[in-house]
Amino acid sequence: MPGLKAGDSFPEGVKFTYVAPTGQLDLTTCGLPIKYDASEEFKNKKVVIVAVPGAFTPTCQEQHVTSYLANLDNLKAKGVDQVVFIASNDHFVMAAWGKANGVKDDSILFMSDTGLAFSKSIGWTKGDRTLRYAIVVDHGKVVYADTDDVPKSIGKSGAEAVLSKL
Amino acid sequence: MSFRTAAILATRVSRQPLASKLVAARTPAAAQRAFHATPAAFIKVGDPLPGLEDVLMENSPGNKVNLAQEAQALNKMILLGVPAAFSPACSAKHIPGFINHPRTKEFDLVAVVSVNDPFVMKAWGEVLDPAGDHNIRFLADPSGRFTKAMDMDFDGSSIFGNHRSKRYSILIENGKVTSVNVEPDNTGTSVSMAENVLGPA
Repeated sequence: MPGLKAGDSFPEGVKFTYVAPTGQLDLTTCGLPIKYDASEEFKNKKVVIVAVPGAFTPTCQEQHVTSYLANLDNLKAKGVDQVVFIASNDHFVMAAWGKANGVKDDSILFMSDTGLAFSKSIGWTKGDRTLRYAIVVDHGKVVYADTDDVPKSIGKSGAEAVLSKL
Repeated sequence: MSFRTAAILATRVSRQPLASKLVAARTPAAAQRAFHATPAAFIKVGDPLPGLEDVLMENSPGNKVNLAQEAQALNKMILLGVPAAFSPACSAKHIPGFINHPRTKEFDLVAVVSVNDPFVMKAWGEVLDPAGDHNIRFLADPSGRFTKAMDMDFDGSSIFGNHRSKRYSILIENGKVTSVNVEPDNTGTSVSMAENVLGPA
């Protein structure tokens, strides 16, 4: 199944792994991992899922995360309850990446798509990484889903693109 | 398939030397392993490091490191394997233990290897060694082949989604291993800690 599209229901049984933010930015400590039941959580929220090929890699770091950090208020104004970044990296790396970006609360959650389970299930992977994509789920329904196929571009999955669809 | 196709295939197959056909048919696993540069074997005292020249990476995917070759040119070095960059024990205990140990400066190099990609290892190195002390380098073994060649991998799929490196500390002199200290449960923090390997701080 090639990806999701507006009008689809968000699939059941999707789980990610993450480490809950602790209010501090020390990258040498790390809490224990928790399973996040995405399918359940998304049933009563408006969420943006952003998938990136790699934490700490150039485009993901310099453009993608920063676009969301800069637009958090705009997203909240359009009713977004949560932004979740996922990647094939493990939860330790994702937690550190969040802290490295100065995020110490749950304004943006950084999670691992462990084993690429979710991205594989919708066919949006390349090798052992996710594609770069964004999905907006509004109370269980997909209202936007698209991938950036042009390398280094966030034209479809950056914050501005998502905002224009909300 | 048609009789003609079958006949052509049969003729082709029958032209192979009989011996190699039998070998291939009888031992497919061995035939696969023959393509590995270094068969996997638990690394022990006296061994060199796996002689792989395009597996380990430093800072970026294009920057390959042949650690076995570098080790041969050094008097003494320490090789530290960790299950996961940025994980608690790796970040708070294992690596800092060696960075802060007084005897570490007797070694020409400390190399940290993990089954992570080079971007992650570079970022982690910047956290653990912000001053950029040139004696400690953070190397990525994203395919796990270097780690597997020493038989130092374990199945971490349930937590990490792939095989990872056990936690180990190996001492090497003139390119040959002189001491191997691997955590019996793969991830604990006991025998591979600096105080155990280098003596009390």
